[in-house]
Amino acid sequence: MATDIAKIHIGQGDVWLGGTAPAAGGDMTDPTSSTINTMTSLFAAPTSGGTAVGFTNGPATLTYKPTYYNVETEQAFAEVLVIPTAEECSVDFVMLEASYTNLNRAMGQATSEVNAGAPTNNTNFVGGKATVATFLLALNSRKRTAVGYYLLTVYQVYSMDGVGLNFERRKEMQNKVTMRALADVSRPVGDQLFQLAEFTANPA
Amino acid sequence: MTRRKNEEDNNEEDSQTEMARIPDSATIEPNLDGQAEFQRVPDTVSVEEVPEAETVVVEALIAPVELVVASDNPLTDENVNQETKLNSPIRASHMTVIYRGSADSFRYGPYKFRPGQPATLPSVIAEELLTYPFEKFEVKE
Repeated sequence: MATDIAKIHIGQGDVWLGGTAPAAGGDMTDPTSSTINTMTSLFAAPTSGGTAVGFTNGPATLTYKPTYYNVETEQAFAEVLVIPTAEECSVDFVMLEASYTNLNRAMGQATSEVNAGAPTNNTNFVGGKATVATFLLALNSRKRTAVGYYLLTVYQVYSMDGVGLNFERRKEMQNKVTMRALADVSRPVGDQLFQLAEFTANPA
Repeated sequence: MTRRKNEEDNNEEDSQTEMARIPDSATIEPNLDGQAEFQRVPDTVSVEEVPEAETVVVEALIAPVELVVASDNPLTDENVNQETKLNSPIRASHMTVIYRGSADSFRYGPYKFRPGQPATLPSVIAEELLTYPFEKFEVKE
């Protein structure tokens, strides 16, 4: 049995929110026709762009769960056919940086404004917004060996649970978010939720 | 054994945010004849250029144009020769400003911008805006 310790992955995920999704493939039946997201030089940012979430605490967890329908028959004890009927995807993490952009993404139904005039401020307005804005999520995790990385790109997410912000004397604000994915039906079938790429070398 | 899942989709609102998409903008370049030349500027944002922080771009100078000359040499259409035109300092009275940040809007005093929507400011205000201590101001010639 061939074993490879180098393939055991351990390491944090760095998250970017927003930006432009890598181009969808021209063949709507071929998910591999889509462009693959990459990191820019020195892991500065994903080429999809976006705003870095910054410090996080605890794991950043990708959850993907397909649901299947199993066909049973009288003639066989086990099911003889299985078809997928649904799938769901989300990414959970805890943001420690209470920037207005992070709070905006976490709250979901907020409208932000940067005010450069006196007094300088960045504000989120919340309440009564009827539409849901989705955005791109990119998660980079470098390999433990420092050569190569994983890059998760979820095409359309929104914060499904809003926020629970603790303003506290003895504890840092922990902005826990669950980013749930919507299918992007403008992309090829098979590539409508996310792509997860493993790179064997660092970005040039 | 047999599982079905009927997921209620509460997310009919599938509106896509306008993320960092800057539309074509028209640039008007003043010339010395008082004519304005229209020039199409293609999309200037690629994915690598999507800013992380607030960015204000002064896109171009646009008409009307003021010619600034010494008071003892009043400038009129009749007495301006080609040499005077070439040597006169030119100052645009207005500038087109584009906000490229991630916020839904950007406000500077009474002036309000939305990403990708050019707004015209008096040049004095635009220059004042450039002194604001953001790191990501750009001046585009």
